[in-house]
Amino acid sequence: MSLAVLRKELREMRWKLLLGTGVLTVLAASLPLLYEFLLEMMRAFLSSGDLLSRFLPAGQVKMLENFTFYIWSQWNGKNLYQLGIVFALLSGMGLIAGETSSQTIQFLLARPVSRRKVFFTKAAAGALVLLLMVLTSTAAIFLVTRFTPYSLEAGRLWLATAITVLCLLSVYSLTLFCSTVIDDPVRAGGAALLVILASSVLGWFPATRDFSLFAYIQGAQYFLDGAVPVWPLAVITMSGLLLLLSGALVFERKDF
Amino acid sequence: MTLAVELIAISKVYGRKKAVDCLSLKVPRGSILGFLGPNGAGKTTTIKLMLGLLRPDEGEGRILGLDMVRDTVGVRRNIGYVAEVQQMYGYMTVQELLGFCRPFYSRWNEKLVAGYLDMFQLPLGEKVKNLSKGMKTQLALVTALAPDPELLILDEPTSGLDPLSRQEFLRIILEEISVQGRTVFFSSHQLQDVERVADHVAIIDHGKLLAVKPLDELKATGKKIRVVFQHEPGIDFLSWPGVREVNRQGNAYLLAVDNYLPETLGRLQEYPHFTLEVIDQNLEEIFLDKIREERK
Repeated sequence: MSLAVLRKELREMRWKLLLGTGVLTVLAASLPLLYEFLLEMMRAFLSSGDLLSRFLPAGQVKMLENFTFYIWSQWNGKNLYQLGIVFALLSGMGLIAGETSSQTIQFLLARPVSRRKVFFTKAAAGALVLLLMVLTSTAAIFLVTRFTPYSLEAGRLWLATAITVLCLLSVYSLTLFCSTVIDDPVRAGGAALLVILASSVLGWFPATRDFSLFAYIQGAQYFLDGAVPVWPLAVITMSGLLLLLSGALVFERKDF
Repeated sequence: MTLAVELIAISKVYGRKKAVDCLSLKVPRGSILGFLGPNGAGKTTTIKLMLGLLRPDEGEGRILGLDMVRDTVGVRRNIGYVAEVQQMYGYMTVQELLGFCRPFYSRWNEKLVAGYLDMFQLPLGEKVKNLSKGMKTQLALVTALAPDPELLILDEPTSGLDPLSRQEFLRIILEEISVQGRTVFFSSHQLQDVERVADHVAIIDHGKLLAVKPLDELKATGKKIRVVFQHEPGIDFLSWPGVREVNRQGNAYLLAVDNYLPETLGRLQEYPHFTLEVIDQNLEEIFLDKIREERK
């Protein structure tokens, strides 16, 4: 790890960090505050006999009466993984490709520092930024909940968040790999997005659903059934690590 | 003779184009080598190979006694590099950029940095992106010299500089760096700059090394003889040893001679002539001759 490179990367990513943390934290903090309003709205729909109430299963409303379930369904089940993917792409796409396209990589690599060290320091900086966004915003849920009459099952929500983070880190690794191979940050981000979209298509069909990242990113199996999908998560983690190591190998051999 | 740079048959291929073609080069320690070549000749590629920014497809090299492929970090620890285009972190101030570079080196001469900053009048609080091209080159030179490098690699450092900045830059190379016994590898196509500072010259074109010699030797060997005969002598001058080019206008001949100058003069004097003179060539003429010869 090169501290000089780490400081530089964190400085360059500070606006992304602020934007990501800000957006996610506002969304996260609003969830406990909107709970009562949402619950009342759903009950009203059900009792009105409105056409809309036919599409709102009574069981779901029952489940939403559980505050922890509500938070998980809105946070891990929606906002965190959707925006998390966007911020994973934003964090990874410019790390190598940004410096390659601006040619500052030559200035950096002319310093007496190994390419491996540069790569893993950059990777660590991006991962740290992503983790800070997720952890700060998730912590905001717990903080705001303290000002409501409800209580959260902290362990369940944090474990589900850990599963989401694991999946987001593999998305980040994929983006970093693309950023190493493709010299333009926008194209690198686009390439990673294409792979992620392809993975979402797998999730549309029952036969291929288990091969999609989106089958696991919400932590639904754990949260709903209580079973951590160990093997799929191991495969996702290994894939992320393989992409990271492949990126490092490409970076070490690449001409700049 | 200890060598600062020793490249042995290195090649670098981009697609079908050989950017560097089996190039072998030895640069003695303490010398200032002018690395000359037209645009696209392979100068920057050679420098990037030396720095480990590119990997050679063939060949090997030693920089300051270290393997340039296997020990690139060790090599760069002892090298100062000024790139052709100064792509530094524009959002940093001059002070921040120097602060960023400092931790990479075990030696960082603060006194020298302060001296050059003062000499160049570089504004410490100014962002790098707001500096003029000349100031960016000066800043790059400061970052290159601060770690007290044994070898200074300058890639077209004076291109785009105004005459005043150029003179100042060359003065520093000549008066401050070379006297400290550092080796300077100075790539340029500004031949008058090279002629002013270099003691050795290497000429490259299409990735191939055409010549590498001490500047004095190169200038001594690259001479021309102008002779106006009284009658057409009817001689095939190219069959004479040392004569590599013949230009004729009537009875006037211009012979390009490598070595064998006294012998060639002696033989020419045997023929009746009006004029017989030796014309010294400057580096530019020698350079152009070499390039033209290669491209024939």
